Amino acid sequence: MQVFKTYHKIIKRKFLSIAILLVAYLGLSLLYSHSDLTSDVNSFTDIEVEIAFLNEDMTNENNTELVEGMKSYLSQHAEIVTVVDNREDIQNALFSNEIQAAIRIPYGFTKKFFKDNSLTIEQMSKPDSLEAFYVQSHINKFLNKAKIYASYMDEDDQAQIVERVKDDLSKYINVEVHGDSNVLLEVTRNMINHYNFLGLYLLFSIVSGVGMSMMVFNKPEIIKRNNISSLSISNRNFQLFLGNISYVLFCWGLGMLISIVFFRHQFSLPKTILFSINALCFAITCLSIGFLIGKNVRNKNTFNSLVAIIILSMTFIGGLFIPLELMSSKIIKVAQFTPIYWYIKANDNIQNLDIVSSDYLIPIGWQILTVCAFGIGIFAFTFIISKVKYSRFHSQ
Amino acid sequence: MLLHVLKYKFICLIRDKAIIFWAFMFPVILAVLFHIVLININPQEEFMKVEFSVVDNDGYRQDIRFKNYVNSIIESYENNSQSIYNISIRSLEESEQLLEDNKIDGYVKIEDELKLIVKRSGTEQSLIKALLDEYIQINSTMETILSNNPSALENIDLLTNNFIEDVPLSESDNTDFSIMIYYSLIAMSCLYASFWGLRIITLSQADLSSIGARMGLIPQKKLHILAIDFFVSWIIQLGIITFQLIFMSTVLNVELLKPIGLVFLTTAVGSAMAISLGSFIGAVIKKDEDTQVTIINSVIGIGYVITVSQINEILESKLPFLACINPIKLVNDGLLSLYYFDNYAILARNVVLMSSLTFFFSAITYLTVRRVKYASI
Repeated sequence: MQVFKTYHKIIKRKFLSIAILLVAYLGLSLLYSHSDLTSDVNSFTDIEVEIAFLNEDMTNENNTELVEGMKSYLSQHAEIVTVVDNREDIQNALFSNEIQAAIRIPYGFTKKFFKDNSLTIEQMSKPDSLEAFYVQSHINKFLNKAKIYASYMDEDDQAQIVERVKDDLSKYINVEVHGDSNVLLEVTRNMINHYNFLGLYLLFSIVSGVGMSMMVFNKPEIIKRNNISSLSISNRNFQLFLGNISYVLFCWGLGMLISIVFFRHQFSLPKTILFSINALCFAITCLSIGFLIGKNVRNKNTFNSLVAIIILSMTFIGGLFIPLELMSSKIIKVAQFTPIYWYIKANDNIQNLDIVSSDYLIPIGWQILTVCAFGIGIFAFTFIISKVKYSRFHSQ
Repeated sequence: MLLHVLKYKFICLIRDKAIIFWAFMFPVILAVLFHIVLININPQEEFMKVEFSVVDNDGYRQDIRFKNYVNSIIESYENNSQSIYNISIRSLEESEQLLEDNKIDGYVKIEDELKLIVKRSGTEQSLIKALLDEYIQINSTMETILSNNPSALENIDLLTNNFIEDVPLSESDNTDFSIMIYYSLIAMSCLYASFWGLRIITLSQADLSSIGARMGLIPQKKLHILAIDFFVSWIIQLGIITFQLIFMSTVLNVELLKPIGLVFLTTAVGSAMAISLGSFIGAVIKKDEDTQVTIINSVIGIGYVITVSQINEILESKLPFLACINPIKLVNDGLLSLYYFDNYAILARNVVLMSSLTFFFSAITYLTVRRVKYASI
């Protein structure tokens, strides 16, 4: 098994480069999903928002009752952070995400509120901020109810109004989560993000590793030396195939082992098996890409450039960095020509799998088969190119 | 002598096609790709729809107020394309089956009280809950008012005023948040100057290249040689960044050049930091070139992904020191602060940090490569 051993010698020599890639991208995918390892999927939780609450509407250096009531209500839905009240510090706090919104109550707001609504509350936030919208909706809810009580109850006492508003806003609908004993364990969004990011890790590590090794075997002097050896071409190719498969299985196995260890709290055997099969099929497709590039590129710099362009283009269009729901139909049509699109779609369907039945498994199966089909197609294309080159070489 | 070295260093570096590709073409290719995807992005309202059903039982038929509320939402959905709630009225069995088949996000039934039944937690379920909470709270308000002031029934108007006024972040009121993607590309492009730094070390060390061996014989101090190499690389990189900024501003029509002086200052300091980082890696990590290139690519790749994704917020809360020294983030934040704010505090802080890193990396590089002796074999 001389070729097989040589293959692994090349991998060992390049091991430091490969190890850096493995650690870097595996670490990245774990970091991406680290924040929500133990979230409770069966309860409703509000989003976490930090705000600055700056009040200029004071009476005898105290907040008015309306403002104090609003502040106390907001503190149930957001964390109120102390920020120095000047424009620069507020901008810095917004920029560094210490706060998502800065609310300023102008002087005289309470008085005008009960008269004619001529003053408004200022809010500073980043553009299109969902958190700022969330805070805005709570403030409007509180103040609209206060206004209704002031208008229809002839109520002058601010404390009484605030009390009634808070009492109304403390009422919620009763929610029941109806589970099924056969329902598979829910997985969090972060676990899915991790498996999607695993695709990036598999792409970089397998394409780089396989490509680098195949480039060595495709050097003209190595090919000529091998052609005059006693080892048959089919035997040589079989050993190369074994070498590549063993490397792919190593990268895949390492990725899956780390996923299972880090997400052991959400371990669900059927879903983990499906994720593993999907990742394995994708890993073999990555092998085909690395094989294609390594067989046809001689220059190391060209190889590095091609790998970066192909991988980043695929991952960007395929829906790894920008959700597929946000993309237009034209971009999705283009994305369907990338294997990572089908890999991510299969992961999303596995996430939503509730019961192991053919109705749910068949679409997932088709998506995984599509990923495999890409791999087979790229291998076929590589062999055709090799055949054409071989015939041209011999006809000269 | 110095001018001679300067001239031929420039010619040597500019002929390196690989580095020209990474520093010059690669960010341009990515910018074009991002531009194609970003201009075709769907607004969020077009894809967010919430489907749930209301159980048509005795409780529902007798609760006129809730019936009117549901009908108003159904009407709103039919007449207004921006409405996201699609409600259907069905029997209990149908609702249970639809929920089981994941065709609806939940269903509502009235028995002794209003109840929402869902299969799981999620955005859609939270939105249904928010809608129904609003109904319960409005109900409570109306009951309180009617019990104290029955005559208000004829005139009651459930107010939906907006008491908030959005104040712009700065006088320029720049609000295009997708600009962050292009700034992060410029930051990544600055960091690709690390390859120049790596090349500097390769061309100056006698054990790494024949040119390095020849450079070891010339009557010039190592510090002068490194300074010239650094300066030439920096000038080439500034030219590349200038072209990229002009390309993105004119061809891709992205507002990147205001204020022009400070944008160039940020990219100039960022490029200097990247060159010093590359030379630091080349000098300190005594491994083959492949390993050094992989390390640089990993630093840039990871730094870029951290800057543009949610990982940035996780790092800022758990490992703030690492978040602070991410070179791509330093350049990116400096540029973003120029766009969104009218104060330069963040830019000044980042420029100081980048300059400190440049000094640190350059000092370590010089201390590592000076007075190196080679065995005479």
